[in-house]
Amino acid sequence: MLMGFAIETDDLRKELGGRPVIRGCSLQVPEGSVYGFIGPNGAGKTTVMRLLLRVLKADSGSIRMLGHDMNSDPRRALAKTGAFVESPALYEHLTARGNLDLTRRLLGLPESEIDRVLDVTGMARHAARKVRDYSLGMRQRVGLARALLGKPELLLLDEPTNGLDPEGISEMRELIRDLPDRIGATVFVSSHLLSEVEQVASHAGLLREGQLVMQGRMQSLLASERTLVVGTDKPKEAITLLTAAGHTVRFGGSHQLAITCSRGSEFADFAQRINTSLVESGIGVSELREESRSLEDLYKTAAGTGLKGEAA
Amino acid sequence: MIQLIRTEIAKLGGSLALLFALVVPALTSCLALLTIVVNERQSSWEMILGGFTLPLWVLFIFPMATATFATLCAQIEYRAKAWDHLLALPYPRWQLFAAKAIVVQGALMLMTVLLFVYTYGLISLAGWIIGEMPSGNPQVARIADSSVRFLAAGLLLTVIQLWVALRFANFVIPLAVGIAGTLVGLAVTMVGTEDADWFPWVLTLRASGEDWMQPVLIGLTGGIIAIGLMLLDLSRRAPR
Repeated sequence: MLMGFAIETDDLRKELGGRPVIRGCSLQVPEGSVYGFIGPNGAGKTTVMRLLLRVLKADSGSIRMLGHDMNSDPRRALAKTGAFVESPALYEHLTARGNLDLTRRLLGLPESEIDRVLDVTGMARHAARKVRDYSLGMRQRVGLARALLGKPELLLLDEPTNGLDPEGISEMRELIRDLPDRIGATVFVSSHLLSEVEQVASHAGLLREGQLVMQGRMQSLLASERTLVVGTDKPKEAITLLTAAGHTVRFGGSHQLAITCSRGSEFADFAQRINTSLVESGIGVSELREESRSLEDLYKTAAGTGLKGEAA
Repeated sequence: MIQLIRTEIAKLGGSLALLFALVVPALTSCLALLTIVVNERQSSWEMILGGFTLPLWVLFIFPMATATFATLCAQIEYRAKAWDHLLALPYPRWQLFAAKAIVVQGALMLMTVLLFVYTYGLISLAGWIIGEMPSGNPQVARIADSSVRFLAAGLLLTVIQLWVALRFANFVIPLAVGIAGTLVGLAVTMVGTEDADWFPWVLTLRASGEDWMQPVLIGLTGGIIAIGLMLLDLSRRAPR
């Protein structure tokens, strides 16, 4: 079955203060997906969000959102889009319910919508408190609740886990992961943490210095090269054994080896095979884990793979 | 548009801007009461309302209140970092800013009405307590007429203040503009020159006097042109 795109941009470009901030961004966000928009701080993620929402106008390139051309017909797409950019913009002198009510009125929604989104985000109990008394996590939830008003077909969330404690991050992650099933929305979520996106997204795109350097299914990204770290009491013997078996091995520490797994999707089997072969050769294994990957690693991988433009 | 205006009004609930709008006319009324208390001669309603309260309001309190109220309204958005959210709503941008302008102008009208209601109430209460009411009638029609004229002439001033307040995230800038404008207005009035009759901060005082036609025309026409330019500028720039 052919899948449409909730967001489709073509070579977006934007200069701010005479400096090119977005230098070619062609997104393809499949309908019904959770699309992780990854990039380091300053890569231009928030600017792309602003361009998508028409808060900023692109210097060149085109945007189609939910089937509407954002140059000629932005309001029809925006009416079906919920968003929070950078931080949940909330009026501190109002309660959560008061804040939600402002947006509800502007979107012409019934009052019951407020209760629905408060339930979805688990904020119903605290809705009568003023926002100034909220923790950052609660503000993020109210921001998400507001984005959910009117059951939008598309959600744009800019770093929704920013500033949250580990428990808050975990809850927000679950909430985002379930959104396509719960309200049938496509979710476009930005983050500078690869590990965050990895856990919620079905698709991902990598932005670097204003350029989309790769995008595709999360599986495809994960299928790229990964590294297994092995702690052992006999590192020299282990290197000899593994190198002879055709593996790429380097020292990762005094008693640690780093072994490259070229097929990331088969990483679990690979780790098991390495462990078995070492133990069967009488080499003790004290640690077996994946080396955490940085965005930089992924960019390097992207340069060597043809993942760009493989979204659907 | 109606929904936008209602939302702007709802936003004021519990805000510093609302508190300011309610308190400033009351403080001005208290000043009027003080002048009665220290004045040994019997006062008249005409002197209290037309001779003291209205000139004080028009010359000094109103322009300062306009600057502060416009700044507080704009800061509601800036403090909440709400511009991205507002501008991403499915509304034409000019309507978002026009709704704000309508609410600010409406609030200034309400503050003027409150000023006379408070003053009348406070003076009446004081007169009832000491057993001596001011002489004459409050002359509501004349006060209302003067108020409508100076508010119309004040449109240009209001738009300038709101424009600057919405345009700059730093609240010092619109307040500085308001203070500078008010001081220049005061200086022009004290010197008695007619060379600066066009100055927005002078128009309100001129409009509440006998020769009101020209200042009202300048204030209204200038205000309408300024609001058009403001909507155009803010829609294109998008505040952050």
